Amino acid sequence: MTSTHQLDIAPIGLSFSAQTFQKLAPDSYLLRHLQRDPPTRPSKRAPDEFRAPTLHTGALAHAQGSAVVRVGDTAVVCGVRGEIHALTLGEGRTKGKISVTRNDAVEDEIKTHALLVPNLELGTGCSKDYHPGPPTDFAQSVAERLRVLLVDTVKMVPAETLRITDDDGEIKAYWVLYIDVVCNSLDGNIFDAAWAAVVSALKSTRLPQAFWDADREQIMCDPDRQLYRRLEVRELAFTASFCIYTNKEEEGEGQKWLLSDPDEFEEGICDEKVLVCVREGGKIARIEKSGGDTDVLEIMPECIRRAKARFDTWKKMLDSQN
Amino acid sequence: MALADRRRINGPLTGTTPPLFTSTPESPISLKSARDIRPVFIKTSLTPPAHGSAYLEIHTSTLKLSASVYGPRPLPPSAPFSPHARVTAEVKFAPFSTPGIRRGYVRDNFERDLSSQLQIALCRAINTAKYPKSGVDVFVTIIDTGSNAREVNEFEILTAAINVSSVAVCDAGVEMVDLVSAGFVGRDAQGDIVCDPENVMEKMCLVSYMAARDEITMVWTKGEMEGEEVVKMTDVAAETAGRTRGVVSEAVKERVWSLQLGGKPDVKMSG
Repeated sequence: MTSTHQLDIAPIGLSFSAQTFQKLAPDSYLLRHLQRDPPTRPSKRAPDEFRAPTLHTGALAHAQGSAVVRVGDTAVVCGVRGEIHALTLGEGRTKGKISVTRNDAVEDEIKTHALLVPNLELGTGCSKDYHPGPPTDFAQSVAERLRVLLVDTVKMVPAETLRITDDDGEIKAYWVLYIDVVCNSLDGNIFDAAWAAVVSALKSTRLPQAFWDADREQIMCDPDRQLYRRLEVRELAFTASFCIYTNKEEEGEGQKWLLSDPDEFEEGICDEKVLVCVREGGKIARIEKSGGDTDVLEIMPECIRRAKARFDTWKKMLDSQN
Repeated sequence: MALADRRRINGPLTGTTPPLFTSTPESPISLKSARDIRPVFIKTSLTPPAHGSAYLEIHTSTLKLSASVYGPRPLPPSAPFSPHARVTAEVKFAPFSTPGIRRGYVRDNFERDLSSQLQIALCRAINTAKYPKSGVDVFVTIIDTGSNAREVNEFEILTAAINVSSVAVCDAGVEMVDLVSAGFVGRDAQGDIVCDPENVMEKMCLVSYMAARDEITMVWTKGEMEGEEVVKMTDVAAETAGRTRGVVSEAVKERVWSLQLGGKPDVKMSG
């Protein structure tokens, strides 16, 4: 009823181009799209449609492992560089040694020695909101979440593969993997793209053969590329992010849409966000949900179903690379 | 070890060292002739959120660069009045881009130097008088450096940075006096001038050049040289830049065509 009334009084001159409407009233812009039959997002995607990803591994010359991931207009490059963390320190009389008690049952070496170091760089001109300089709070929080997922939750890289031992099997040093994700283009959902890049880059990592040189008392590496060994990656996991949009207008208030793989525009409007991390065999590794009042039990089965399908897409893509 | 950056995730407290190899592979002998320049690949608009962007790769090298441009956009209210557009340039290496030691995230003097050189090279090519009280910001990220050298060849990087930014500025629709392209030459041990050398040489010269106007926007030389020698090298470098100009123009042309063919229809919508 109200809508007809509004139509009657609306002057003919007051109609905007889609872009202007999007800037003036982003909320209703998204809502009008979703109210169409079938619901279509401004990016012409269906609510449950993810953007098609592309993936390339091993493209960089100076990184031991690398991956370039593009999801729609979000593009990231991830490079893995191995450096050596020696357990003997200092020279001559000041020489000290860090002793390590090996405990294969409790694998905390990766955490205690900080052997996996993921970082995220957004200050590359990837979007107008991020400038070069110290990382923003957002970049720091995404990097930290990547680290938690990599080190605490999924435990993709076993500690054994990073140990460098002498002939007697004593641990002399560790490989430390610096996993740097540089964002080239940002159009929402940085986490899924960054995580997929980290996983793919680790999967493609080849480390040189390192050995303990007793005469020099340090770790040396063999430059022969034939002897490089593939980094052992125990188990794959991929994430899927969602936004929940709730209709706040009087008519049809409370109606919700679950949007897969949100872009920058949608992320800016929706405050309710869900992340599901699926590992091999369809097991759930992690669920995050923030903001909003949606019934978790109601929404989660659908999120998990979509996340599992997304895992298969990523897995297939990564398998075709190796 | 320097004080750890608390805003990043850091490695072990005691620090790490890059792998030490039993022997270092020699830089491969350059197979290209002294006159040749390596084929350059440039593609525009790979960073859609930016106003303009471009990506550059050099064939037979692993050098990879991307540039994005924001502008002309209004200067922040705190900035003093400026009758011309303010051009800024920022060159940043990705941490995994260089041989040897991993690069940190904090901007170092080398990056600052490259940034200011790039700014000088671009500034003269942009019609700054057209955009008062505005800023044009250029960001260049070096994703990977050339594989042929054990050390970073700053002349190669700056040349590529100028070429890719020139296309990106054009892609952003910022009015330019002329497209700018860059070329560099080196003088080898025999005293011959080599265009676009693959390895770092003692004497090198870079020229950033606007071919249609026959104007030089920047010259950068390295090594001890006589006056005449500098002129000779600058001439050859400008000629090299002129040859790269073709690729730069082609990338812009390709972009114009794609705009004409694939222009998005304007969807009308009413509130």
